[in-house]
Amino acid sequence: MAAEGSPSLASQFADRTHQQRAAVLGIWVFLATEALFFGTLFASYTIGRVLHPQAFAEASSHTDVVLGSINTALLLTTSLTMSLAGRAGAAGWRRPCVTWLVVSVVLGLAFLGLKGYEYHEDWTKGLLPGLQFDYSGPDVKGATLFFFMYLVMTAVHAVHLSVACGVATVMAVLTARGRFSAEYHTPLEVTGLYWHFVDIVWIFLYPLLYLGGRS
Amino acid sequence: MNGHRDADPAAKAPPARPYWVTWLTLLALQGLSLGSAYLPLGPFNLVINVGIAIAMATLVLVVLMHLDHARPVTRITAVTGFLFLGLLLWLMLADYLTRPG
Repeated sequence: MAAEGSPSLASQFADRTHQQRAAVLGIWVFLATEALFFGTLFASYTIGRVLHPQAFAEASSHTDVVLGSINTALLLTTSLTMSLAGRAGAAGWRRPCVTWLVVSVVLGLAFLGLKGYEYHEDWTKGLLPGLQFDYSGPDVKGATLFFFMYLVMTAVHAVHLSVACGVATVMAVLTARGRFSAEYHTPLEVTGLYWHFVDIVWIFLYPLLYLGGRS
Repeated sequence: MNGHRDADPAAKAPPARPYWVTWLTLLALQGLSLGSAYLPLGPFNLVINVGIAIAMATLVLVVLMHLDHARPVTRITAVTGFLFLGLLLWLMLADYLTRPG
């Protein structure tokens, strides 16, 4: 165990537990602000849906439910692999921790790849307002609003997932270099919490953007 | 250099089983949400979809994000974020849903 004043213990903390608790509380405060940040997008979506219920139902039946469902399952699986990485990290098992982190990043990148392919599909179908929009229906204004929300919400989520993949990659490298141990693994814990939050955002995006207007 | 520093792995790590069970439950709930979306239930399609999403998010928060054995201050912080989001959505809908024609 490293002594007091080691690189992993900042001077303002009495001990490791103190530092670990502050870091975990800190990420939860950050996640609360993130919930409110995404909340404004969900609020905008809700107002659009209240004002244009028919158009939102009709428009959401044009999103790709197969790709959306595969991506949801992929992301739910990364929540498992990230949890297993955190568990291995907390136990001080270096190699399993790196493996699960790498699996999480690969699945996360697969999600982003599929999402990119889906955007390409949307582009050819003319479903991207401001970029390539060619939609005809009874309420084009309402449908435009839906596809605008679809584009912004999925894009902001993709940015968050990209950040999560980047951070997890750094964590894999640091873990492989032996930076963490059973005594000190707070960065792994914090990374996992952020990753799970990004998954929670998608858990709500999936039914709102892909499952409307199917019945 | 050995990846396994601990001679007895089970002694130090919590069981992995809850994570696997949660993952399978999440996938089952996703399937339920997807399947129910094709049933003609009118406004209840949305109610079921959002209800399932809340259940899934709660599972992630409690089991995978360890709120089940987090310190009280961490739990309060987590709940406060979602509580305020709920308050804002509720008050916003109180306006939009009661506007005359």
